[in-house]
Amino acid sequence: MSDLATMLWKEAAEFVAGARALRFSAVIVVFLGVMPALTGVRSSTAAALQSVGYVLITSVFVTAQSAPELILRERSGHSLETLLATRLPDRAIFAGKVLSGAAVGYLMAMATLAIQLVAWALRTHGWNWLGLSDAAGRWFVLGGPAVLATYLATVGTIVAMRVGDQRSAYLVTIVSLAVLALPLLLHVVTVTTSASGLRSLVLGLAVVDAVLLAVGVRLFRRERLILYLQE
Amino acid sequence: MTPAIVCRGLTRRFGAQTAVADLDLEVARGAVFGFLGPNGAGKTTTVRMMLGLLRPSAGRIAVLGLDPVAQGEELRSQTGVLLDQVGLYDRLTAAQNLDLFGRIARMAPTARRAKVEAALRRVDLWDRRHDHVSGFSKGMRQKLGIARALLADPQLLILDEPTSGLDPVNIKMLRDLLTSLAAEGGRTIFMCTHQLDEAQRLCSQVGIIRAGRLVAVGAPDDLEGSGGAPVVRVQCRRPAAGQAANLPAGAQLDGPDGEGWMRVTLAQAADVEELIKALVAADAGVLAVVPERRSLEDVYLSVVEGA
Repeated sequence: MSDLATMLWKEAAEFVAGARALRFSAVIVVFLGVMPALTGVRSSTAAALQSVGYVLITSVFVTAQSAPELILRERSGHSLETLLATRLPDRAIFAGKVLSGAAVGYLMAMATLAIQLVAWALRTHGWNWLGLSDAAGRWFVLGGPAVLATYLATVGTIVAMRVGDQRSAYLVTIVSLAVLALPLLLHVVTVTTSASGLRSLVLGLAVVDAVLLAVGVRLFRRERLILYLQE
Repeated sequence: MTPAIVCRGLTRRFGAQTAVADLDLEVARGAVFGFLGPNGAGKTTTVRMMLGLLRPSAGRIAVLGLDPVAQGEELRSQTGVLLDQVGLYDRLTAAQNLDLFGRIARMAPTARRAKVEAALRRVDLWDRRHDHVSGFSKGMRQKLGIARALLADPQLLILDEPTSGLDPVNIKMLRDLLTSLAAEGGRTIFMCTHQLDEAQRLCSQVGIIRAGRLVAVGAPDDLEGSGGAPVVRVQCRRPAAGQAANLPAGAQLDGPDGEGWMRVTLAQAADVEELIKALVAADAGVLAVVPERRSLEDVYLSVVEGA
């Protein structure tokens, strides 16, 4: 665990010191945070639906941007090989990258939610919990960004190990969301909007995340990365 | 005591290309080993295999008595590394960069702070500890890279082209640092370099690699005296008599210069005695006979160019 904590410390320190990444995330968070209050919807139910959508969008776009960047920055800065030459185990490096990318996406989604709540309260002169006011909403607003961010961070990290270009890695990561949507589109999986339905959806995605993470840990090999770097 | 590094028939292929071929090498503990060779000779691939970052295609390697692939984590915890690209984290400060590697080495917070301070003071970067590395010059980055490699008191220090791309002032500064490290003893230093004078000054042993094969290895002094036809320089009071002397078979005499020095290339080292006898017999007035040593550069160029 201490190796994973070291990786998380490193990524957090770099993220806080990186003005560009912070600016990108702050713009998205503020923009999507004030949207429900500015779009002219009158009912808190409609605002809650918008809130959920924007929170999910924040987690998707911020994670798809930041997760590949965590690897690509190391590749371009030539620090990746030095990191691989340390005693850190493969799984700590990989899990550290994935969890850091997911954490950035999730925290930004929660920041968006916080701004939404404040903005809506200022507009309506009264407090309303929007999507958090019922159990189904809570599963979706709190659990949805977490599972989506973890999924995208895992895919983004694996893609960035192979693809050395930020834009390509970002696009492949975003497109990978379609894989998640396929079972729903093909009606292999049906989801109800009840609390138990949304809980099942979030937990199902969490299982997908866990499997993907395990596959990623198995795929992440120092030698493979060194060979990619040599190319 | 087992050697610090042992390679036996070490080979690494990338598809049809062989980067390192049948490398046999032994580096004693505490030695300062210079690994010389042109670009693409296989130095970096060898270093990567030593660190367990690449698996050998054939042969075996042991570093500090450990198998780099099977015991990579343990090996890397005892090894300090400065690769050809320093690989610092530009967004972090100098102190944070070292602190990170202290955490990776699992140092306790108090010990880590003390080690970071000592390392930064050693490379004269303590006053810049709160500065972001992105603003550092190449020389400062190299110094910080060495401080990072030394942080956990590694038994083995691997330096890949530590003075590459530096200006003369920074090269001297870094060489002084490396000289002090080499003088401390106790730690094995494996250094890849193009700088022959650096290898000559710092290394107790050097190896020259060409096209993936180790073509020469030994102490710089031994290598300097080895290979090629033996040459002696002879100073005579009467050079003309020396030129007319009956020289040993196959000997070739050049000169003299204004001070009566002549250069004689012999067929074999044992001919020196015969040469002196011939000069004495010719009444050349022999004042001095000095064997001419080949420089490390001569040796390097001859083996690298395949001469």
